[in-house]
Amino acid sequence: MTNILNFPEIQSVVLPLLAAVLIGAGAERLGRLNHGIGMLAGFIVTVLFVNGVELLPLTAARKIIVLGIAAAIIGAIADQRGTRWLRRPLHFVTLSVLASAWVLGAALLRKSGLAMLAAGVGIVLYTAWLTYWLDRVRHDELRATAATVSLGMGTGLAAIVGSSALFGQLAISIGAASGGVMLLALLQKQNKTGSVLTLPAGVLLGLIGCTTVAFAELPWTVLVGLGLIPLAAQFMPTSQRRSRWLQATVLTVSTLALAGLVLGYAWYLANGSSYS
Amino acid sequence: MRKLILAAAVLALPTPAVFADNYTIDPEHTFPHFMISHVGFSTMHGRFDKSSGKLTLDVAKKTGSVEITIDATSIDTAHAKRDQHLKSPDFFNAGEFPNITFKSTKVTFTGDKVTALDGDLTIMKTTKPVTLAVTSMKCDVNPFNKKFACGFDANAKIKRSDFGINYGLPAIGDDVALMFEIEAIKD
Repeated sequence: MTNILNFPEIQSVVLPLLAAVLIGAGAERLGRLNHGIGMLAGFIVTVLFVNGVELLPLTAARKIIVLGIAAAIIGAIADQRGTRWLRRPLHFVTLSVLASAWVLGAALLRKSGLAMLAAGVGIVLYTAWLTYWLDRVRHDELRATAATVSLGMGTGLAAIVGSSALFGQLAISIGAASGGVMLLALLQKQNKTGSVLTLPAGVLLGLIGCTTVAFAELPWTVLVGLGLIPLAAQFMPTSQRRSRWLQATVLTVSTLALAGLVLGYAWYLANGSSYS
Repeated sequence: MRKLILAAAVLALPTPAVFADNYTIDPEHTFPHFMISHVGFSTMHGRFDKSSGKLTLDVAKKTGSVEITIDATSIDTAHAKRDQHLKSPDFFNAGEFPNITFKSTKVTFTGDKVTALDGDLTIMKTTKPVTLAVTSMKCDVNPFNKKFACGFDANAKIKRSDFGINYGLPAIGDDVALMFEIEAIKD
């Protein structure tokens, strides 16, 4: 049993998916919060495997984990209170500035003038972009989870190609847990997705992508492709008259195909190899 | 006048280190190496190509200090992809923590020779006490550059998990053998 739990696939795909389904179903009474709680539970399962419970010293990876949990809390409050303050693009940018400065500020300060400015603006824009566009589909559980499944898998596999299995596993767990949440949404036939799911997914995947560029070997151009996934999830035409299972399949396959293209590009840039 | 000449002559003679001497690490002859089990199949070797630091030694008083800073981005295992992975957040996280440091807290002498260096090893903001066993030491004039230098060979064993480097455990070994070749030139 111990040996099986050591497999990254079990830690980052199977267990997060199961945790998302079980915890999400168990939290059904919490209404709109249950999908977000399911996704976060799946993510935390992987965190326990790859990081444990230690938060000190506060590395960039641990700061991202803390911010992901904080984003889920903010998203839950926004969902419960229906606050509109979170919805403006400027607010997503402001939150991204604060999060990015905390996670990557020290690394940015080691760069010189223009390089520091370009990297800083890029990090903020990418995280703000993901959180904003994921938030736009927060009340459409199929589009939201299709986006987070594909963005999680794409970001995670790109991170592995970029030489970071740690960030790869963390991102993939978000994709797998989102898959569990999508399954739950299809089985429950209820729309319970909200900012509690999309905000932490955007913050986590945005910061994981940027940190992999900063501290591993992922070219920043890969993020440009990954950033198109939430747009594809939002604008992919599907017929409401079709079954929800078919809609989910169309949305997931199309966004995963985009993630696959981006991954192929990352693989090409890495000269067709990763190391293990 | 005779006394003055005599005093100058005495001062010009080579003398043993009566006072604490300061040395600067010679980066061309200072390399921290490491060995680690690769999934139990074999023992992988690697080294850091860049390091810097200072030594002080007072052989008469049997005291001294050592401070070495290792550039974590200079890791070299003769395999570019593996080096990228070792520099990534999975292992040394060199982008976020570019320096590894060792600062001695106690220098142990046996006779005129340093035989152990106790100190604090810091990797990725985590500091742990480590004892380096010094297996050889020589202080003398280098016949090639005519500079006075001190050199050491030292080694220690650590557990990488103590420093938060947990990726691949337990398949990739937890025990890491460290070996230092250190040369420092007198200031």
